[in-house]
Amino acid sequence: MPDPRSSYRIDIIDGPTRCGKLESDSGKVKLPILIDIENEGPGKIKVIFPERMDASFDRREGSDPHPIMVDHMMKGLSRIKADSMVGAVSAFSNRFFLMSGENFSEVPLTTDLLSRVITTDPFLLSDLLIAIKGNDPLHDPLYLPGTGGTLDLETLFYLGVEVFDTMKARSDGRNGIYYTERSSLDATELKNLGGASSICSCQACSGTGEDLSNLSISDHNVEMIGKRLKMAVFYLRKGSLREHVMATLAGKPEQMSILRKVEKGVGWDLGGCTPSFRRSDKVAVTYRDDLNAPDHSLWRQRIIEEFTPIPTKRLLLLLPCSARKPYSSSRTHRRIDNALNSVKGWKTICQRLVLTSPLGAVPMELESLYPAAHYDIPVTGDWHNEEIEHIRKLTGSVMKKGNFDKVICYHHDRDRFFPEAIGRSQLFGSEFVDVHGLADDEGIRPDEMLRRTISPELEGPMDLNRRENEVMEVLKAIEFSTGIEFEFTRDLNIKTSWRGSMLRSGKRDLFDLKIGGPVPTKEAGKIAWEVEGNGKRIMIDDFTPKGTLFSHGINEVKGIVRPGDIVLIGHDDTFKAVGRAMIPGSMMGTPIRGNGVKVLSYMK
Amino acid sequence: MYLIYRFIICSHDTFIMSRGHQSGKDGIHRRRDRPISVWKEKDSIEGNEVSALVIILDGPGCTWSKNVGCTMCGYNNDVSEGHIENDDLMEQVKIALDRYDGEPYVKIFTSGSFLDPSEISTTVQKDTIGSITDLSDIDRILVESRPEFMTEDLMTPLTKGDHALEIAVGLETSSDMIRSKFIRKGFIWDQYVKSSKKAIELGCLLKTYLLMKPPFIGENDAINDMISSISDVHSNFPGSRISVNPMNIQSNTVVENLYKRGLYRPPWLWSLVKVLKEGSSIANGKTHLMSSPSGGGKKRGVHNCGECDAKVLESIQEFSIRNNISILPIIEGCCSKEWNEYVSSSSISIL
Repeated sequence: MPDPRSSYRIDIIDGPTRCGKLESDSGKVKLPILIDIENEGPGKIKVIFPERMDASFDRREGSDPHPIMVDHMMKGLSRIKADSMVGAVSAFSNRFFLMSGENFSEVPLTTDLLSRVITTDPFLLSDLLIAIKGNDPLHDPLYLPGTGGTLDLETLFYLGVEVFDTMKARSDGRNGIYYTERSSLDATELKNLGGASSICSCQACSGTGEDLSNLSISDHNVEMIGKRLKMAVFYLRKGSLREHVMATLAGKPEQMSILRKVEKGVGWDLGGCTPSFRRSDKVAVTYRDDLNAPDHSLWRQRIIEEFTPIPTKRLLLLLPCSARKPYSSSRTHRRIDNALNSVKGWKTICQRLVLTSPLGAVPMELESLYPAAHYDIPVTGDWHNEEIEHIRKLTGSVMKKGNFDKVICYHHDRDRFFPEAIGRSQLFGSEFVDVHGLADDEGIRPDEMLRRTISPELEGPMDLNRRENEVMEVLKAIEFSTGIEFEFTRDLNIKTSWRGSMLRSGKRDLFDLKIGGPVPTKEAGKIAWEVEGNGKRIMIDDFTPKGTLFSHGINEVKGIVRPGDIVLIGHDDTFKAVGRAMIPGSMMGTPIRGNGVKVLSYMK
Repeated sequence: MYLIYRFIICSHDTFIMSRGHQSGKDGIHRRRDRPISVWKEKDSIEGNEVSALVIILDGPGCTWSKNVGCTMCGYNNDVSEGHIENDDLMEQVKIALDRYDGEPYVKIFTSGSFLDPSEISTTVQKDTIGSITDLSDIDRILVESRPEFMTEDLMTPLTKGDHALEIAVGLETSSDMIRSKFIRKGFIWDQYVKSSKKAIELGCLLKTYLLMKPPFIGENDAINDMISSISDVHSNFPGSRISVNPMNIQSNTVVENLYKRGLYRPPWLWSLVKVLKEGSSIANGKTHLMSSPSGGGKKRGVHNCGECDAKVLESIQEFSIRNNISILPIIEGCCSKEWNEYVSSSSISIL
């Protein structure tokens, strides 16, 4: 935790990544920052990024070193058989401060000058990041001197480092390593590209011939990492930093191992920092490592822990995914719907579960939520063991929580997912129907076989009619997405227009059923507020929140709140507004300042 | 059992006799009655160029190194294990002195402290110095020692005779923090001052070794540390000799581990030039400043870009004998700009 006298203002928190400002009476420093340390270090420093930023740098002797840093430094020295240098750790372990303006302020960084012992060892570096992030997501801004070169800039920014220096870029430049947009090349190869000026327009490169001095390369490298950090911040703001980082990792196995270890080691949730919602239109799942991207891991975990099927569903219908999202708009799913159209009320008894990667499984009523409606993965027909494991785990979880008589599998690759069920007609203790297998046996189309399988299950009176089932499924999505439980009543209805769908009570709008997740109107918020414990709640003083609610203005958070969650804002018994969380609930109301909740609608 | 001798032509065109690298730790048994190496080199006395006989004895090695050890020292690699008889040591001295040819300066190295009785018995100490002083034309004898062994009892018997006994002390830096935490030398500045004053009181000459750029010290800090150390030694012992030893990476040392991980670069030759220039201004001709870099111009030793190394090293060698600042090159051209940038941005200062 930062010293209460200092102020770290969070702008964005996204999984392990942070971006904010250091603030004091004497000024502000925007993070992430790239600093050019020259000569003595302490004092005025040149800031490469953000542009037009002044900053000073200071070191305090005698201040307590960061215990996790010290611990890892000792381990690092031991790993390189330099145990005898442990004395050096205390010599270096002073606290560093970064501040704008002439006067230094008590804004410490989590750093250590010996950190190169750690940063040159991928295992130790990932252990350090896991320890720091796992110990306290509110840790002081992290600075690992000597990092921020072409290899590790994007990865370390993604993993939470907020202060970089130019030492590595300059050192590489002196050794003839020329930085490019995503990687680097040997400067002697520039002549094969027609010289540096033909591929870069920076001041150091422009006007140069084929020969570029190492000093010019050094200047170019500094400019290039400044640009690259700028791009990384841009992608963070856009919500797609991880995708950008993955794209830069080609040919960097050590960095990949650090990313893997940290994502696995800290856990997908990172103390509730993983967003449950993004504005992105599409989330590309390009690499195998994307299977365990925090957003996807969060989805799988939430399905296991929080999803319960609607009790009226007696059949579990396993379906394939589709490239087009939401699934129901795809040709595959429209064909299935058409095949079952003649079976009146089939949706009321079928829990449709789409088997997919990287999410494992998506209950059909949640198809419009993030990231189910957004992910885009290349389909080859091959499934990795890890993907199969996710699918089996989530299917098993849904089966366990439901009350299903049968599992009906309408999926080509059922023998890959559930080989033990093929031929034995049993899956996890329930009856298993292999639609494609039966269709093959009888020489009919699988669609027809599916119809024949489900039709007999619909004999007798239905608990719900088609419209009621549709509302129930929407309520389930609302509950899963916002934590708001709405009691089913006959006057609830769904109105669909060119603007989208809306859940209404009579003619009163309650929830805008947007792609990404339902958003309650203030009327719905007020109704939900009346039931104690309903929804995720933010308690504030008695005022009308408008625009943005600051973190330190929040008194209490009820329920687990992640960035992107819909929250209800109120004071005592009075409902005030509907908002969307911008930071985890665990950080609201702490000395860390910053935007807490974006207010979407409020009571006048 | 073979004893391999080889003759190597040194850079200063003298022949040296050197036994092949057969470490006692490699399992090969070696005789202990031959010195590790003997050669002749240029040095200076009172600013005059002289020839010096250098004797590396095959002693038991540094006691400190065996018990604790300095982070940069690999001298124990060259030391045989097991006990060594006094007679063997004296035989080594005898063989080495067979090469003596009127050199006024004899330097004895033991990969440890000559004055440490647990390494070299007092009898051997006395007999060794005695056998050298028996030679004609001897002006100065150099031995090395840690300060804790520079006691009156141990030094007095060695000062008898017409020669001057010069005791070289590996102070490394005047900063206790750097010496204790980064070099792990095991003594403090006050000890060095006290022992050195005693040595001078007894008529000995003092030579102080300084280590340029211990591990984890940035280039800029290393330069500043050397300049302030020269100033400190000079102000306490004006007229003594100071040898600035830029780090060379020896095998099986902590520094080598760091070097292999990319965590250490030996100092630049330009940095050494800067230290010698600024140090000379401080010493003002009273204290003799010198440097004989081991591994100079090599990756593991003090080096520049590779193109200008030989020329700069030659100047430093010449400067070390004459102690004339004008011999040192002007820091410009070749890789001097890169060096300047390296010094500026190599690390954050800890001093």
